[in-house]
Amino acid sequence: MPYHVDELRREEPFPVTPETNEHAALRFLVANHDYGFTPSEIAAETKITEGSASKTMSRLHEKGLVSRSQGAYYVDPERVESLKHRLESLDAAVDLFDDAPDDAYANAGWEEQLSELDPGDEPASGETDDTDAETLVSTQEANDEA
Amino acid sequence: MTYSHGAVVSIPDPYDRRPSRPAVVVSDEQCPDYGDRYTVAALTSSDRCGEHPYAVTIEADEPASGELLTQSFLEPWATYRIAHGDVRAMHARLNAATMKRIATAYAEMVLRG
Repeated sequence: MPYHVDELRREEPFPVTPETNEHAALRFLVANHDYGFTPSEIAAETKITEGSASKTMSRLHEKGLVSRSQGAYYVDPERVESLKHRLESLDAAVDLFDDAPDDAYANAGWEEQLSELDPGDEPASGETDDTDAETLVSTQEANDEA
Repeated sequence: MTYSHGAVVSIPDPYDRRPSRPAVVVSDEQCPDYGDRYTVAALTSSDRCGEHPYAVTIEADEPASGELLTQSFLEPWATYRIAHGDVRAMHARLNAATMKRIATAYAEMVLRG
């Protein structure tokens, strides 16, 4: 059975930078995924200038993020959900960095100082904990009362 | 390939201006979207954040496998939904005892809030 294109791209960093024209155009098309828009129409609905709208849309098309038909660009209905998730993830990552304090992890190269593990390696047996949330909360309440 | 519950991962800056940030995967296969995206909680080595009553202290050599850069603090209040493709690498896996302390911190935060 063939893989869906989004599964193949799942491993890849999202090829759009926040606060760029590509980001604004893609966000607009995902939010209005029932319609197709020409570059001029996209420019009219976003902060993208008329002069750069065509180039922006061509780049998004080349990256395989939007489809094109009769001069109009749109998001493939099957990809709306996954693109929405990727845009949300991008926003979340921006928030994570905005919230991050100045600490040892803010220094370049910290990743190289640590080993890189294979996510496919399962945890060794005996490492899981079956305590359910109710027990955890009960224990916590008992501790609070003590 | 999936980042499992308890994985310490690095998340690159979307603007590519700063080094990655570390975070811990707190969602598991019973959460929606597990695999395509994850709920992660931020890690920091900032002592100021560590002084917060809900922060969870994790020693550098405490993970079941791999290690942290230095003594770090998990911030239960700082959670994010990150897509699989926006995670760069996995550096450590926290053990069940550490995850239990994290769970307790969440319970405290919700119960006392």
